[in-house]
Amino acid sequence: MVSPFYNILKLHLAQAEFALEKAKNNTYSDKRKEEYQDKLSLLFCEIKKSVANDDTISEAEIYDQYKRHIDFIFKSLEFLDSSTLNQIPYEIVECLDYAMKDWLTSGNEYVIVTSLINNVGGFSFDPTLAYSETIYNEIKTKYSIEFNCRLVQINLPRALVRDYLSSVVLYHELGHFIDMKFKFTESLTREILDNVTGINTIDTVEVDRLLYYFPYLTQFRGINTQLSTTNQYFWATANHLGEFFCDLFASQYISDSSNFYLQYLTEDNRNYTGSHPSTNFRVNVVNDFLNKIDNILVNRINKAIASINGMALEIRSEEVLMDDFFNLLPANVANLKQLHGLFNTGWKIWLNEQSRLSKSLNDQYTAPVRLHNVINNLIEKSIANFITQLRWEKAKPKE
Amino acid sequence: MGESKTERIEHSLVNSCLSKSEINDFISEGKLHIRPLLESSQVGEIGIDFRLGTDFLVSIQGREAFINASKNEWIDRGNQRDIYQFFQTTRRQIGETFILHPHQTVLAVSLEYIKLPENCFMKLYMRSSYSRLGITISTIAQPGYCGCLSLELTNNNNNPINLTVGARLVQGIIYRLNSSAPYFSSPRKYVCQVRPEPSAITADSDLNILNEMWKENNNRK
Repeated sequence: MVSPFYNILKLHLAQAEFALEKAKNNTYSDKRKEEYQDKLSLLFCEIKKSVANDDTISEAEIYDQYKRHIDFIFKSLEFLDSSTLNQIPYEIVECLDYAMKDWLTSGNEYVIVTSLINNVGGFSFDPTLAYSETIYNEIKTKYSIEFNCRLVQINLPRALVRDYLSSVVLYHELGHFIDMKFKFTESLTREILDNVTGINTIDTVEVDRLLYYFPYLTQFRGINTQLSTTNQYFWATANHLGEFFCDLFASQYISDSSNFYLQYLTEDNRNYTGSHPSTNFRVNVVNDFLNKIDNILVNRINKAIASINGMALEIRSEEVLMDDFFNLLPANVANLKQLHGLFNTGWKIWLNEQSRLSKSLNDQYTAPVRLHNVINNLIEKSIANFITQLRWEKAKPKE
Repeated sequence: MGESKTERIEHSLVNSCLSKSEINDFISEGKLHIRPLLESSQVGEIGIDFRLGTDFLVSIQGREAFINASKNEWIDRGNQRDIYQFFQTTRRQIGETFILHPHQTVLAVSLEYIKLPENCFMKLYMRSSYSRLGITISTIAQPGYCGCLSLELTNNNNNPINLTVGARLVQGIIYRLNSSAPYFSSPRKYVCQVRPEPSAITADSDLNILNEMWKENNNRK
């Protein structure tokens, strides 16, 4: 007689089969997603075959050998299903893709996928499918199935899927992916803690400047003992550095667009938590970076980046003049820097120039929803036109 | 023989359609905007070819019995449904295809976002090659219109027709008025649209008056 867990494993398989069957109808904007999905189907067939021949398997083996692999199929589908051409916020994802390629030597290895979730504050990066090499290796070893790319999973609120103003937050989320890939802040965390504890001595003024951003570390100043990685303050510092990096990463592309939005979302929280620094520190660091004001965190993060991949934080966007938008026209985007700069232009209008935009519409549409719609449409079309023109030029026969 | 009265009135309103050189002049002078204009050859002798865009609203039969294009609440028990309910959105990439089924209404938009001068309006015609397949269209863009052009496509052929997104589908002929008629001088329902939008027919204020008349006549007040 087979165990109940074996039967539940078969139930799990049946559920996966159903989900894969449904996903067969998905149409993607990127061939690599289709290939990834084909590999999932292949993986499913192999698991199914293996399970059928293995009805004496123990409960522990079920978890270890099969359940995690079926979970992997579901996790992948969760994002692929929301990344069809009809659902994915195509224009913003293209912008993120360009930003991602700035930092990767081979952009084809990673594909950005989105999951639309029913939480209006639900912007986040999920590292499961980008950095779970263990599971990819297991699948390769056990079933000889190799996934050629990894999925960069970004969660965003379903309600804001076509909202180009709040989309700036996604650049921050992409920052988490880049940070995890290169481990910029992971290496920096230990360095900063050692500076504070005095294990690696630096100028006391420098320590003061660091403690300004990490006030909870004051208690460890000069203790000359290394803080364990399991210490909650170690994790808080690592988390805070990660957030500072992501804010800076995003600001390279979207300038100060997300500052006010961040203040609004966090109700301008002046207190830090274990996961996030205080909002005013985050805004200060971004402003210092953008205004080229000497800032210890920017310097330290830049140093870490340079030592790891030779790059640096720099302004990677260009201002797009508002005139086209006031003329109710999509902007003629000349280059990638301007492509990213569109978001800042949209924000500047929303924050400071609503009345001027309204005048362009003869003040007929003062309702926020109408003005928002106009800005959204113009940003979307500006991005879409840039992409279309690039592809057209690439595809047309050379004279 | 002199001009008839009607001809005189028409002449006083509409000057002529723009020629190729005039269209090009308007574009270079920033009076007419077409974004993107992928090929300059889209500007022909008497008009501009516009391409099929990437977004579609496809009519579907759902649970609602009919589209109520009136304000008559008696007929739908006051539960007027958004016209969006009768359409399904779908996207394609440029170069992909879209099948237009016989007698189906599909709302699409041009790939190009345009802004017309305030003294010009544009009539859209199906390009001859597509007319011959049985696809019809009927659209006018008002003076000063800004947005992608709304393309209400109907396939009158008995066979489905596979269209290419990005193909030159319609031709716009631009007519010049003798005076300006700013687009936003009167309330507009369609503003800077970049994706197809369903009919906003129930926003017509006349329908309220007509409904009041119906109520009066039928003792429904």
